Amino acid sequence: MKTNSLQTQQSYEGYIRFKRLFFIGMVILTVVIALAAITFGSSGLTLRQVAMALLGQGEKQANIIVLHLRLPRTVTALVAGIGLALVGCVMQSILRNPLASSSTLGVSQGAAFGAAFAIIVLDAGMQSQTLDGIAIANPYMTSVCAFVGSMLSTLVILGLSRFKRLSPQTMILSGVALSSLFSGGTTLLQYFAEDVKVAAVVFWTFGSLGSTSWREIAIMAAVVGAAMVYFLANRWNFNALQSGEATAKALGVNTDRLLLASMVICSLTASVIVSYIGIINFIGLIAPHLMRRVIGSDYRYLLPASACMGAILLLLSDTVARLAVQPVVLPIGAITSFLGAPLFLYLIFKGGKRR
Amino acid sequence: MIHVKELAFRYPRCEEILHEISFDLDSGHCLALLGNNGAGKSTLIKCLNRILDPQKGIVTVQGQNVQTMKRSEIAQTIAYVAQQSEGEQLTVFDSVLLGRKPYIKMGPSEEDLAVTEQALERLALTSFALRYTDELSGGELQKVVLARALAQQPDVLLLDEPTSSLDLHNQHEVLKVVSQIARDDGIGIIVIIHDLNLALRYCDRFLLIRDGFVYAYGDASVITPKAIADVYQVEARILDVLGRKMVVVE
Repeated sequence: MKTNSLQTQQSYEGYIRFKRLFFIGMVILTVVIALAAITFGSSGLTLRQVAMALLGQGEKQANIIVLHLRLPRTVTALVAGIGLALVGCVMQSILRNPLASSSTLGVSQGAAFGAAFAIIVLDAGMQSQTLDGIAIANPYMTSVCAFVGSMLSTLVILGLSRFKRLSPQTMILSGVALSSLFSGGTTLLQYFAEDVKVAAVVFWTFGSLGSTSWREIAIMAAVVGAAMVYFLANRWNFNALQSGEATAKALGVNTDRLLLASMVICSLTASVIVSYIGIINFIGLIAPHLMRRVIGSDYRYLLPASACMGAILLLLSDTVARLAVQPVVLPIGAITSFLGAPLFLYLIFKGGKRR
Repeated sequence: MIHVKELAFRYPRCEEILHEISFDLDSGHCLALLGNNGAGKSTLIKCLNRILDPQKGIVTVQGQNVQTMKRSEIAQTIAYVAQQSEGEQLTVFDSVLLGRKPYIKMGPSEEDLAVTEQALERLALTSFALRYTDELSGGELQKVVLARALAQQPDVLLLDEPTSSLDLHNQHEVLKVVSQIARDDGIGIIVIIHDLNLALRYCDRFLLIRDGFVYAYGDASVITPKAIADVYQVEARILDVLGRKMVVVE
């Protein structure tokens, strides 16, 4: 008996060691890819020039490119990738649906409607064309309206779940209905708008990592950081929830509070990210799925590993978007979908090997 | 040890489905909760550990009122095994370790790991420890959820139809373990069961529910042809086979 017990303990410790090492590997990979994203670009800066600029000792041109263009862009990708992946991971847990993500509950569509409303009705529309695309004349108003739109969707779902006591499955169906409603609203706004404003709306929905200021990045980072703390503090509760709501309650989880608080935090985080960088599909869906295939659904490790994977996917997508057709920067939303969809199909049909 | 007094429950905007349920169970006993489909058995055991909150009545365990306890305190006192066990993408070890959730603060302590190992050994699951639960058979999964409930170190164990999806061999194996747990650990066990012969073999207390009311409560003597006819609407005889009471449906 004692020998068996010792073997079990040693095997389990080995298994936990693998997960910890895997997470450390993911962090290192994220940092390496982030540095690569800062280094690679159309201006042909060398690794040394980039390093000197990052250390504050670079030439003027290198400093401008690295510190004012590439660094904020890379940090935006890191923060948004982490946030979107965490939101997808938690939503898949609390809604007990593998397809749950911020777009499933109409958050993205609500944001798109809000942005369209700001651009078309409130004249926050197109100002000029640049190499990066079309600039939005009043990005703050667009972001605020996108945030209001996405929170509107969230509040409707939360209100329904509170007063009608919806099941997670019904919440997803309600989200699909709301998505359709907001998409219809956006189409109607576009139908009656001038061509230039329609172009601005389309541009916003492409998503962009290159237009965030450090102040906006700080707001995103604060929200994503707070969400991460809450989610990690509840990692055991998410594990318990996998066995069903009744079992989770019997294990001491206040499931009603967990569901409500997680939904509010997920929606708020997704709303803030979407309102600043536009609609980025697939990161929230695919990052947790990729990690689940490798390390299972233990949320102690799945949450941080998914966060790293979200950052890696968004960084890689952005690097592809910048380098594929230089000097044109392709829309990031299209790239994440373009890379994400085949990867998702591959996961479905091929699967992975969990450890 | 567990004392239930005049418990009543209704779902929102519905009629009352449990009416003035009262019974006591001492430690070391295994109670079979019997009744036809829809009688309110599952609802009753969910009311005992506040998975559902009853509108009326009192439930106490070791003298403590369950209604005034925190969720984590209830989970340290009453364990529950659901009707449908769902395989997670967790290893067997982690799934059983979840039973320590009410005790874990930041991370599992040495004691939590030791209790988990003991629960695994008790149910002969050590060789499965690092397999994922969604790869297990129904019988193996049932043992995992039982081991998790044991890891909670409860005073009372509630089991909702633990044998419903098991083959004959696993039905007996699981119930053998359950009755042994009651005897060896002094845990009070309440188990919903449909097979009266399994109940008569492994349980020593019987609570018959009809239409949300207690029809009868006591030892095996409460299982009579009349009780079976009244509760299940079937004619049956009680035979003595090899010194055991057996129910034979006409």
